[in-house]
Amino acid sequence: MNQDKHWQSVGEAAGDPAVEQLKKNEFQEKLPFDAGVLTEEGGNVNASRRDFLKMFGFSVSAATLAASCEIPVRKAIPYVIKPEEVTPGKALHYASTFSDGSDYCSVLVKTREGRPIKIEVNDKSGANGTNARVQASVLNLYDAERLRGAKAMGEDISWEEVDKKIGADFKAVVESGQEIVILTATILSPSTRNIFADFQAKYPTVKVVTYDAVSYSGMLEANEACFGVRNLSQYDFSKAKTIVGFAADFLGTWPTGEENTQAYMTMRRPTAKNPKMSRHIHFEAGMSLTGSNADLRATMKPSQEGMAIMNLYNNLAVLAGVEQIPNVPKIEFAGNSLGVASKELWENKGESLVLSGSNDTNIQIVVNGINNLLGNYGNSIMVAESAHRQGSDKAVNELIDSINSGNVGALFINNVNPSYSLPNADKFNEAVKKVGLTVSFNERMDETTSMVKYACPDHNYLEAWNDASPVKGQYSITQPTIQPIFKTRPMQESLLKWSDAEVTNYYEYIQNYWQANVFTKQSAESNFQNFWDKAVHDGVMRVEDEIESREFSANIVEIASNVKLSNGDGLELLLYEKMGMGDGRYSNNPFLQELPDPITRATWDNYACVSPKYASEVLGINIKTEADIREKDVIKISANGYSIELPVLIQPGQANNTIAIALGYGRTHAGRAGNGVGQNAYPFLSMINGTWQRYATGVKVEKTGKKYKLALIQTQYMLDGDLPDRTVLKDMSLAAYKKNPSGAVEKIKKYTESDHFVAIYDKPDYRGNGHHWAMAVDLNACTGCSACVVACNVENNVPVVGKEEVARAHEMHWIRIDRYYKGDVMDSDSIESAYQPMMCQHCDNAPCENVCPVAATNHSSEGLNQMAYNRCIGTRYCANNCPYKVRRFNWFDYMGADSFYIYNNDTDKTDTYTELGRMVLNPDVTVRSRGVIEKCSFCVQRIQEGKLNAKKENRKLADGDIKTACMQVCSANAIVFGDLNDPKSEVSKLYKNERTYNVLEEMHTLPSVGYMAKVRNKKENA
Amino acid sequence: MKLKTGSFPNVVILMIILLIAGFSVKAQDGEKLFKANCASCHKIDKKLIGPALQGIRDRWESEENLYAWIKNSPKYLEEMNDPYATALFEEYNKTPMTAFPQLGDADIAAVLEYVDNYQPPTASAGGEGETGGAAQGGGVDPLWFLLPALLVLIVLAVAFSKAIGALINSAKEKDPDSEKVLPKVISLKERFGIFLKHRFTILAIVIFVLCWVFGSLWDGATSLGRQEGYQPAQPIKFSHKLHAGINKIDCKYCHVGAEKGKASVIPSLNICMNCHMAVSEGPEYGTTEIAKIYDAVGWDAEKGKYIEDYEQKPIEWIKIHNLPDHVYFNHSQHVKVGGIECQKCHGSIEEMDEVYQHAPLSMGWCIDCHRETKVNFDNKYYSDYEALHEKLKNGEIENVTVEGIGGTECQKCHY
Repeated sequence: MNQDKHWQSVGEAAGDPAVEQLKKNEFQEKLPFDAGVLTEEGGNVNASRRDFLKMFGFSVSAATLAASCEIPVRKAIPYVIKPEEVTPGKALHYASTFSDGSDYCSVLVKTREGRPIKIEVNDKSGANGTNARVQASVLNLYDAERLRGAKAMGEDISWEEVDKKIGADFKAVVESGQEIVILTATILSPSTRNIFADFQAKYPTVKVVTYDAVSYSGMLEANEACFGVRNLSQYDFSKAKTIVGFAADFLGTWPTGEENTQAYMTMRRPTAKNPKMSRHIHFEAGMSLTGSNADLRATMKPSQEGMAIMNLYNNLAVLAGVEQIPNVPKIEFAGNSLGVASKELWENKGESLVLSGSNDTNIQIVVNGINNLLGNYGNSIMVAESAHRQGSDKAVNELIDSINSGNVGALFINNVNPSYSLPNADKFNEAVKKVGLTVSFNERMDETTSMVKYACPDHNYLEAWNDASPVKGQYSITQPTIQPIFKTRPMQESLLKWSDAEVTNYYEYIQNYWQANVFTKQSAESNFQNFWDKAVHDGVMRVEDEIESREFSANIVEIASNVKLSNGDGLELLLYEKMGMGDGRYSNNPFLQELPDPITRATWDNYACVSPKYASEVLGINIKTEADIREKDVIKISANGYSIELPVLIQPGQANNTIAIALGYGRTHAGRAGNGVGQNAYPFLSMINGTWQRYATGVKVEKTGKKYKLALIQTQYMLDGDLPDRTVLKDMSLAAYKKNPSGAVEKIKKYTESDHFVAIYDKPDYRGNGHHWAMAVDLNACTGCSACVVACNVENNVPVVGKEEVARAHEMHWIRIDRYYKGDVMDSDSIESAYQPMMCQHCDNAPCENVCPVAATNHSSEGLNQMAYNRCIGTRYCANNCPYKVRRFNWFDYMGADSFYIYNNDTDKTDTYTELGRMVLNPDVTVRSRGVIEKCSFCVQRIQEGKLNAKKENRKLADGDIKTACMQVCSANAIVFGDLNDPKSEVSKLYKNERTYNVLEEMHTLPSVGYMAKVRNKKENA
Repeated sequence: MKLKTGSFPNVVILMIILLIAGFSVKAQDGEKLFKANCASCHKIDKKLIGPALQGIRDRWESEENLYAWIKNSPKYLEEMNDPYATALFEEYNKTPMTAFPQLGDADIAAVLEYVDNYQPPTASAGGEGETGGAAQGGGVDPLWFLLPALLVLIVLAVAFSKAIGALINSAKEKDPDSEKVLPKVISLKERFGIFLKHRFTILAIVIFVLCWVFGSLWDGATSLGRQEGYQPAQPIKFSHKLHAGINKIDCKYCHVGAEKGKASVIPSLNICMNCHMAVSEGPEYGTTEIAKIYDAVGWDAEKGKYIEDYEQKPIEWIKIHNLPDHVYFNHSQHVKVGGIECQKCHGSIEEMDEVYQHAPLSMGWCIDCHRETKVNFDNKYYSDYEALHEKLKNGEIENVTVEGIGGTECQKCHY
């Protein structure tokens, strides 16, 4: 097989003829005539001319009747007293902060007429983008299944009543001297931490236990052991020339994944003048987002991580001339990669990073030891300053024991769901019943809240005041952007009330806290009110916080002897987080459920990822013919006394003899969208050395003989790039790039206006005629994180269609991230990946425009391929003729009254769902009806708005005034949009870059999207 | 008696003319005088800035004193030491009444006479009538009724003639003698034979009728959803003629969004209250319509202040200008950037007591205007259109229309 060929699916790599056929077809199914009025049994169309006339006549008369109806009366209801800053029809942006214990992001909330509709990046924070979950979070606000008020024993109750009852119970607990425990997610808010401290000061039996569903205890405790502070380190990827990762998803699901991406990418933009980029070597079992972006990737079984890291330590210890860890069996991975990593790390001492995703304290201490040997602390790593995770597995386990021995009188649960996400949830659930007073502040009746006595739901972050301090010296504010939709109350206010605090208003409390603790650390503002106003306006603030210098002290050799060694025999199970779903807390967010996983391209499910070799040799799946069909074999996986049945997904690059399963699925109390999607994999976690490890050994697999349909978009909308000269995805090695920067793209024949323009219409001349909108996508920068997909969904009212529809290739996303592999499908170590964001290319010689019988799609004088929905009659000729397969057809009224719910299992819905869910719609973008085609518009509403603002201000349009939604959220700056007519614009410069080419350039469609070839930092001559 | 619409400026002009001419003012001009001089502070039947004027003659000791007070109240207070006048002065926050030296005795007498004979306007005009009602898509062509009626007549005629023929025939069969008495039966063929002879004429007629039917259908279909002339009854009988026409209030004083954003914005009630805190009575409907504002916003007209903790009720106006959901229209683009007068699309709104939809708001209507309207190319934004600037300079083109810069392309309005 040609090693230079890119492929998208296992079947394609193996030569499945069915996949070849799918590539040829835009639409994967015949017209649904099989169950209509025009058919007889057997599915043959049996409609005579008479039937046609009957139907025609009926339609005409029905239309006539409908048309004679009166036009409804519409009302316009103005404000009684209009707030000064609001102009109906104009968006307002408020700086705020998203901080939920898992993700932290300083954001701008775009509101229209008082309702948040989009989350954007706060430039003042220095961040480039947000992740997918932050983008989708605006829909959480309008989730009709949030609790609508306080509940006692499942019954609605007023806040006054609940305060009285809890107050009485609480008093009794205090008097009894039993422990009062607050079980909370990681809290970044200094004010909230202060409330907890006040609480503890007032009631000495109060204990705060922090719990993270996906635990970083190992890392935290390693830092405590090495530096005496229980915090995460801050990594500066912009200073790292060599990065070695061991199952560390630092670009994806790690805390601050998008900040890491931003810094990481600054080192990965080689230019012809300065052809340098960082080198990234990765060891892992499952294909993670980070691993897929590595230059050199070797598969490693989860249990071997400790041994691998100790080998690396020993290799470096030899080079550094320090004591080695004794009795460590030698281990090496494909391509001698551990040896290569050691050598390159040592060459870049002080400018390197070694990271591990392990949750084993001892392993993390060895990793710290490696970074210390390399002198990275103080250079590429800031010692232990990040508070992004604070959870402790040990403390949670002790809590369960403590409850069982009857020591706990009250349990307050804040923003965590241990009844679902604890591996030993059964034990926890049993224990909770023994506590006298149990209160949950969670936003919905989730698995945990349904176990407790009182539900006192907290506000959504868009409704509340809050603050956050993720790292020392950095403070940010969360401000409300809408009145609370339901009768909810901030958790902090509930605690302040029940403890009879002087200040019970949380806003006032935050202000007091800031006046006493933050205001005093700065000198720029002398008046507190001015300082506060600026903080609220900007959303972020940096002050001088003293940072203690910390010295590394740990006896690596001694500690390493505690690391559990494994020879890596037998089947192992890896448990990981997905980019969209994370730990599963936002299961009920349909945007995230329908977001295709960047690697597997699957939606609405979790599954068992296995390597192609394992699938064919052990499970007996014919990977040539069975890998890409939607009906997957179901296997039963058992480990740690727990078993579930999941469909098999064949994942290239997966370590052989391992199975990877995503966490965050199998919710039972998430809501309509999230309930019953996938299976819960948390119980598979194993406890080693006092922390939860995200893998299991001793795994058993049985074939069940069942089949299960997965909604995979892997084999949908594949570009037909098989012909030898077709230009789809171009890449090259850094060595080749140094030799000839345009090597990857110069073979492509550059068609010019003069030699090849054959078209029905004249080629538009944009020069000097306003704008020519275009986009440049850097394939070297795109990590595949998919934040742009969700951003596009929210900005452009792209419907969520549900699992069944996705499975029928009816998904509607305007931007998709095509993921390509290269290498031998059966050899997981050889797999290289690349991502290619694909959206409408706005071709200047567009094949779709020529075939539309009603000219519903045509070209604008600004180079946009326009789509007029109200003109479209739904012939779908354009989609058939689009070589990029970016046009989407509305098979049903996806955005109608049924909104998000009808396409997911459950058709029982109320008006509230529809009304509330639709609040998220962008009023500047038409909601498409059934039977029309839609596609990427280059965010034309933003273009028009930008132009109008320039006209109103009587100025030229500046580069950067208009940003498409996808460009705006991209942490990696992979997408740049602008005006090609402006020679100084960023996009014009990128268009002239030697790496830039157009996809399917040889078809002479003259696209307005340029792609920059991917460069891999490979040392070999490849 | 019905009050004429507020004509303060006219009265002032009239007064000046009259004064110059040196004519004395006649008693029947009391109303005009009252409005010109007194109405800004006094009402007849209730307190405004000054006391209600009804029964004023009875309250004053003598008419002479009253006249003197009106002509110059500060002087009166100083000289006369009248306890009633002093009390009045104290009651109204020691604000003396403006002096009116220009009023002669006859003028004052006329005003007082008007006050005495004043009848409060009746509230008959307000309140009634459905608000809303469906929008009508223009009148219905009467031919639509005629055609079926004609058809029915023809059918009846044929049926009757057949029936009569049958009756006659049966009568003849029974009694052959009756043939002389009974009329001769004309068969259908004989009767309508004429039509058979003129087949082509008939064909032409049929084609004509079909064309007409399809033409009507076409017209009807294209005008679907259009509401030209739509004039629903509004919850408040607000008159643009009074506000924008007679009182010449700038459109953008109330429609604050017109230069800023997408919507011109139906004014919120706080804007109404800017004036209506003082103006509690209109010329047409008296207090009834303005009271609706007070009711919505919670203003106590008696006490002259807002009612605390009042549950405000927004006014539910009927929207007249409705664009389909798939059309994006932005007022600021047209008003601020394009400098287009409101009247261009909304008609002579300053003459409308009750607003109706002036334009069809159809796509053809939009496009027609985009084809003709010249772009203000001095706006620096357009400096990117170098080629067009060059042509303008060369004289190749005289001006640039909206269409010339892509203003008729789909995605300028549909997205």
